[in-house]
Amino acid sequence: MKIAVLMKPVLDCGVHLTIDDKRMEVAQKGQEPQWVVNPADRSALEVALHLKYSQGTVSVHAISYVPKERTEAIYYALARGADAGTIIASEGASQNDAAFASVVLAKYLERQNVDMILCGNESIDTAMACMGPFVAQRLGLPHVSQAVSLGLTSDNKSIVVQRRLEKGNREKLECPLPAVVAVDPMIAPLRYASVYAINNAGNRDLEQVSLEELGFKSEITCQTELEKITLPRPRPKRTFIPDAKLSVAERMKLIRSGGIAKKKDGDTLSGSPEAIADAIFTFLQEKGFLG
Amino acid sequence: MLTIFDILLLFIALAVCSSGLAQRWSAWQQGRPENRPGSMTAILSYLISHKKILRKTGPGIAHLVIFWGFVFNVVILILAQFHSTLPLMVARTLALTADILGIAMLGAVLFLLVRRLKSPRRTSFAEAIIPFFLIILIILSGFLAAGVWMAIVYGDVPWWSPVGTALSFISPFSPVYMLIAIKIHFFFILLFIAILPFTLLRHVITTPLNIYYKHHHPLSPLPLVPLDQSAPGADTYRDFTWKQILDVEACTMCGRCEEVCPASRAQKPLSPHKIVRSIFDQIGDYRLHKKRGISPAIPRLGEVIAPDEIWSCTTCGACNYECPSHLDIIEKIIDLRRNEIEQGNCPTLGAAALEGMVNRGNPWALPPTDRTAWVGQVSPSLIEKTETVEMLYWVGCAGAYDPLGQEISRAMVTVLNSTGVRYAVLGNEERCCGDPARRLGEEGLFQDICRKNIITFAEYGISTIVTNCPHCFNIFRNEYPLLGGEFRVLHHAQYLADLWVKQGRTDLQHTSTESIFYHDPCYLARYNADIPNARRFLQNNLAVDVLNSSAPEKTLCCGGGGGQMWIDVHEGDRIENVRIAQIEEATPDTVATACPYCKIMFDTALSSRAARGEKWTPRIKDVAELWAERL
Repeated sequence: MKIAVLMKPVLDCGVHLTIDDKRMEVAQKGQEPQWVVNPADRSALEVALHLKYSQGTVSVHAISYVPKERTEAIYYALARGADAGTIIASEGASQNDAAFASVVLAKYLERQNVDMILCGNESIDTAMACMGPFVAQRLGLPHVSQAVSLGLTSDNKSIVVQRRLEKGNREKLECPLPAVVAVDPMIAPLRYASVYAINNAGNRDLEQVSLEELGFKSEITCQTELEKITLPRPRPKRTFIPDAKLSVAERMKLIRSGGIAKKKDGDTLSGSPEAIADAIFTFLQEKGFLG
Repeated sequence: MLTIFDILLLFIALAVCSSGLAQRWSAWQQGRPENRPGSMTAILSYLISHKKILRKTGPGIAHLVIFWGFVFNVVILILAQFHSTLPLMVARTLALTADILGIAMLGAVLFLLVRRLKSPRRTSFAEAIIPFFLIILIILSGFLAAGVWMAIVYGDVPWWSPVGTALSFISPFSPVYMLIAIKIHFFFILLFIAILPFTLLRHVITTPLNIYYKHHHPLSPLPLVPLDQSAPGADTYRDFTWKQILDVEACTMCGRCEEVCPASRAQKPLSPHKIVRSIFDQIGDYRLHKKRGISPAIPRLGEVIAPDEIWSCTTCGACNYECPSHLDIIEKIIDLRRNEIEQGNCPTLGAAALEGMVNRGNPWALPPTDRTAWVGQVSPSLIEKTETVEMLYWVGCAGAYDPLGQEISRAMVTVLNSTGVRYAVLGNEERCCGDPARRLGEEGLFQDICRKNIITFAEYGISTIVTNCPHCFNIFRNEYPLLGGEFRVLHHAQYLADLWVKQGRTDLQHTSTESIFYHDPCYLARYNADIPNARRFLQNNLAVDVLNSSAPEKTLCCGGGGGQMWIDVHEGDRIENVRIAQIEEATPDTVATACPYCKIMFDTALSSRAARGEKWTPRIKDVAELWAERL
């Protein structure tokens, strides 16, 4: 069985971010760009590797559609245990054009004869959450998104997937292979790949595919266009109504700091830990969470 | 006199013994090569002084008696074979000494046997208990033979053989009986020789050998792992070096490591003793299996050592420090961790810290551009390429990111600014020193960080580094030289004390009357026991009374080292609580320490105490903060 995993490097979002107006891109403030592997894609890779180690006859193929030198995601995949890695050089195409990216990936995957295509549900940078469905549509394959668990049926002909729905609901589906599954990061915990393993993976051969080789002409037609990019509107902090016991100056300070008056009676508990625990317990009992 | 038959038996015993030893030898020859120069002085001085064994007085003296009794009797035995005629007085004095030593040995062996039987640790009867009985039988049969002999040749006033004389009254007057007694004594000795390699008695050979090859310091720097070969870490025992396997063979199962291990004391899954024994037993079982042709695959260490055990270690070094056989247990645990990391089995929180170090340069995983957020109201001088500075003040990740550590850095800058020293901080160019990576077993990341830091230091022409974190201090001082980074590294308390002497300052205010308990950080008191202890500066410079007086090296870990700040094995108590409970006995007003990790760990322990409404809630302060308070 052959599993393809779509891997995307993203900018590390845990630092201070800003907008590069000229290039219309999110950038990291005051530092050299630091790329990491998209967490959901890492989870997808772990699912594939789990199948590899539990089934034995599975080979895992990591694919990344990125500029040639952005090898982070592929080397990570190889370091974790993927059998092969491919970079489809995206030179000359927009990184944010998911529609076009899915055309490219589908074109490449068509020739690969894979049984399963795994990818992260969404990337943490653009968060469009459409790569899985797009690729599936272009290949004419069934597709499941938001997968939180995935297993093969005993005949290895189809998969049983649990989907994450709204409000904690779950949906269990059986889907014939080949199929595309976009996984939720909670499907598998992220695993650490050591610097040694990543450096070692750097010595392995990568398959490099250019857009020309896939039959795309040099003038690439963007399927979507980015018009504007802005930082999120600063969200007002949700603070509780200031305590009446506070001085006016203190209350002004709290309100000016962006507090919104939302709730009349605050639900902060105070007192000894035992008293607080008691109050929480009674609350849960009243609401019917505890028997 | 020895008959031909006796000599034949002797040769058989020696053959069995040497085949057993050869088996041991081949086991440690299976390890990876390692260059370890031996030291004859080390082993001789150790055997004569029994220094580390005597740290426990009772068993220490018992061992000393048995050791010297054994040596003495072997010498007598050899002398006796040569029919040499010693002057009567000398011979009789020797006989008297042998007699007294015999009794003392008997007492000592019985004492150790009772201790071992009462010990809660798992001991194999055949391996650890039978040798005791054998030694007792050897001594008893020796006395018996002496008694019969005395009964036969009784003539002179035998002051030189009190035990023999006493026994002669109950012994028959029979040369045949004497011969039998001597033979029994002889056979027991042969048995002793024959079983030596297969029981605990092997320590007579392996332990001195291990001490011969020991490092100068029990907590010497972890050797550099070449990363161009196979993956770092130990998956099977063959990934250990020959010395690490010899270590395992040299263990005498005394269990002192377990008694001092903070993780064991907090009922965590780790026991250093168990780790060593597991490796030993696995090698033995594998040898047996191979002989019977059952399992040709080399067993993996993970089969006998659970991940929770190795992730419970704080690398505090107490086990290495206490081990009388000079085992290096921490090195083995780190090798096991390295293997886990390479397999991708790092604990989730540990992995987050490591990724923080990879992507953001600090295990707190906070933005690298926030590194100077600690500054607040103080104004440290930032480093510039155009100007050389006397010393670099290395703030460290704890000092830069953790609110409790930031207090220390600010205090440090306040003190430094008052001295007029030309110092500087690296600001946003600082990154983790690599210690958490190395102790968590991420050798590749450590070497990466280390090389980058050495380049940064070279760019700014830095030769002296002062840091308030013992972990940074230890790795700069002892492990950066492995990759060519030689700097003069000082710990902040030491630096300030020297500076005060140099500048002749006497302006610290000694008005406070608080009582202080100084908690020794492991990475200063044990890993760097040769530098002056900060307790001294508290007493001399700050003129405070330090409540604790026990040896600094005996300190119990706060539970934060070895990456434990980021990983958490939930089983058992928390180590910081165990240490705080110890400190509570002295009920100081302030707990002083010289490590940001200790401060953070104790703060969590103390705030949970405060939340429980406990009465004793001391302040927890770094030496630098106490210093700044007294400016």
